[in-house]
Amino acid sequence: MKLNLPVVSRLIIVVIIASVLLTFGLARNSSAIVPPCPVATDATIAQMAQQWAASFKTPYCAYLDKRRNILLKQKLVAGVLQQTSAMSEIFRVTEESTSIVKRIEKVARRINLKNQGVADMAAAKLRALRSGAGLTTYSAGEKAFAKASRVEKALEKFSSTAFDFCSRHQAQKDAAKLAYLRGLVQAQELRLLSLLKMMEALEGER
Amino acid sequence: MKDRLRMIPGTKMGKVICGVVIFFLLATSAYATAVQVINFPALMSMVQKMVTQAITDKIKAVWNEEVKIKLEPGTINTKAVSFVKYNISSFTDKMISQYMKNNAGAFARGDGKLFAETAKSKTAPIIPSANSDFKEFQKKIREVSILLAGAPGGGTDRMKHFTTAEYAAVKLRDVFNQASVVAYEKASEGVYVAERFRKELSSFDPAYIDGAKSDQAVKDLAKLAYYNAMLQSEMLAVMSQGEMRRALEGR
Repeated sequence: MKLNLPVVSRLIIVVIIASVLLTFGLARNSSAIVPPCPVATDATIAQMAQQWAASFKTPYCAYLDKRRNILLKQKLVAGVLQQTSAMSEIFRVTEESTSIVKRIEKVARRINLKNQGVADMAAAKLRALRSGAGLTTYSAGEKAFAKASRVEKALEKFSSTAFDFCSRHQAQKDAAKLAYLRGLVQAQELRLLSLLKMMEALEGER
Repeated sequence: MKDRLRMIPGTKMGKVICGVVIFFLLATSAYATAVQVINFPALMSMVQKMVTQAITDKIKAVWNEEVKIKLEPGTINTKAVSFVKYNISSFTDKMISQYMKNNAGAFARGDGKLFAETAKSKTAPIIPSANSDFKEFQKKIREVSILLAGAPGGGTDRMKHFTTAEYAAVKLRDVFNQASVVAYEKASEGVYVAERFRKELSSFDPAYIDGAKSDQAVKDLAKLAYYNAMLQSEMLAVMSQGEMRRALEGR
């Protein structure tokens, strides 16, 4: 069946199709509205705002997260002074407190407690204690010297210039470790000094 | 053909076609203009608010995280460190002001009972272990202090014929004995404190500092600086008491 429309009818159809294309296709695209917004309601504006906000905030938040992770990583890096654990081991050795008592008792056994006056016995006891304190001080000095030598040897391997090439965070950690070691050394020094002063206090005529 | 086209707008159908075309063109233009001109500022304002809120929330979250890190405690447990609390000074002060005033030295009139009992007891005087309880430690130290303080001299009745120099010598000897007691007890405290410090802190592995955050290390550093200051102060006290005693020696 052949469709034979008059010229006017054909023209009408062409115009309508062209108008529809122009309105919903070419004209809308050429107006630079992406995406097309036939009815500009609050809902569509909010949707667009969300999309735009997301595109703005995502790179900014990613940058902040990246910076925070870098900082956190820096905080967790170990210090450059690695020998501290080995050095603290040196101080873990305890002094034999029982041996001190035994030493003094050994000296005290030599005191003749028979037929002695109160003053003589007091003097004899102090003499025994002085001898014991002397032995203890000598032993403590010997051990302290051994510990100090070992720590010194361990520290010699480390160059303090390394702090210039490490981060502030690492230097802070090493400062804490060195303060810890200094504390242990000072405790040893205090112990030795105190024993020496105890021994001195037992000396002298009364 | 041209003539036919010219006739179209004149016809009824031609007018309808032209009207439809104009309507569609006007409608397209109106929609585009409406979105671009009227709603664009509202849209931008909304976007600005949303972006500002999102960024503010993110900055707050990062800041809170940073504050949380800064508030984390150090790796050294301060509750396990007790060496700072031991002090023998008040104990020694009582020995000097209460016991020695009446029971030791040339000017004392006491019966010297405690001195005699301590001297005659069969137990040997010892330097007690720092592992013992502090009160127990003090008790053992006191036995030696009583011996160091000496017996009572009987008072001034026996010094009637003393010259000024002899009086001075007796007084200095008494002061020397007091200084000996003070130096001995302070030095004992020093031994106890040093041993406690070593015991309490040598169990701590400094490698923990490496594993923690640098903010925690700074806190540990401050704690250790405090402990070091306490140790140094103890050292100064022991040394100064000992040197005061030494200054009186041989006079």
